Amino acid sequence: MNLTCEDLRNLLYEYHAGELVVEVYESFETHLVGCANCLYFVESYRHTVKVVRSLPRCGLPAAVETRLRAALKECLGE
Amino acid sequence: MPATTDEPLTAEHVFREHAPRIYHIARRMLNNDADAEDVTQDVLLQVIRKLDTFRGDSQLSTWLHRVTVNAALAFREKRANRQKHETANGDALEIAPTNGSVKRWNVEPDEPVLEAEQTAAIERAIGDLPGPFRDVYVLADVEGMPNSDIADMLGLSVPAVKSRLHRARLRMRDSLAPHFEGGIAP
Repeated sequence: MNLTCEDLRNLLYEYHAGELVVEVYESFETHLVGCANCLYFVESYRHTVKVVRSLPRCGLPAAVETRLRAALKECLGE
Repeated sequence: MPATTDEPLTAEHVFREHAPRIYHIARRMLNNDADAEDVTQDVLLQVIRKLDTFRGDSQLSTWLHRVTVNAALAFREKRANRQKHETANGDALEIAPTNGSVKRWNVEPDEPVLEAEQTAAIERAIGDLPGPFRDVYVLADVEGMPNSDIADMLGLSVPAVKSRLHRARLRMRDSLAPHFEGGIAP
């Protein structure tokens, strides 16, 4: 099975998720060996997922916390 | 520290442990800080009034995600009714081109540690995604929720979630790849 560059982009989600059937996976890998553009595209796709998953867990901005606490106190009649 | 299942949940615990996540999910879905604050207040009020019905923190956490997503979607619909002209142009938003003012990234592929300006670039790119794609993207790639849960929350099929996630990732890649440096080039 020969995959085009467009095929690869359409299959990227399944490739990244490990959901490709063996035959398609092998064709995907074969294409990557001979196509520097697709190799870069796949690596940058993978890297995008990785950096977004590493976004820091932020707290509430101080002003938001203050306003929220005051609003809740008022609404709950404390 | 999270409450154990034996420990009664308190309003302060809910606020401390869950308000930041509620706020940031809503902020990213709505792409608006003030609207996210309104949604957070609404969700916190709902949960605090029902605290005695939860058996523990993990049950509460699952419920909170669902309520937050529902509240954000409802808020967006309300906002769309107020500002139809803005929503009509939502899908036409273009990702801002790189103008050279953003320093190229030099992150280790295995353990990326993001600097403030890199985080800001990611947040901008997320904010530029059209709403329906942003919802799926935020819940999947930022919050790490399973596709089946996202499908359930958004009323979509799992294949539809995967399709939107894929398209959102492609758009995020197009936006962020110009900033990647070194390590990932073939």
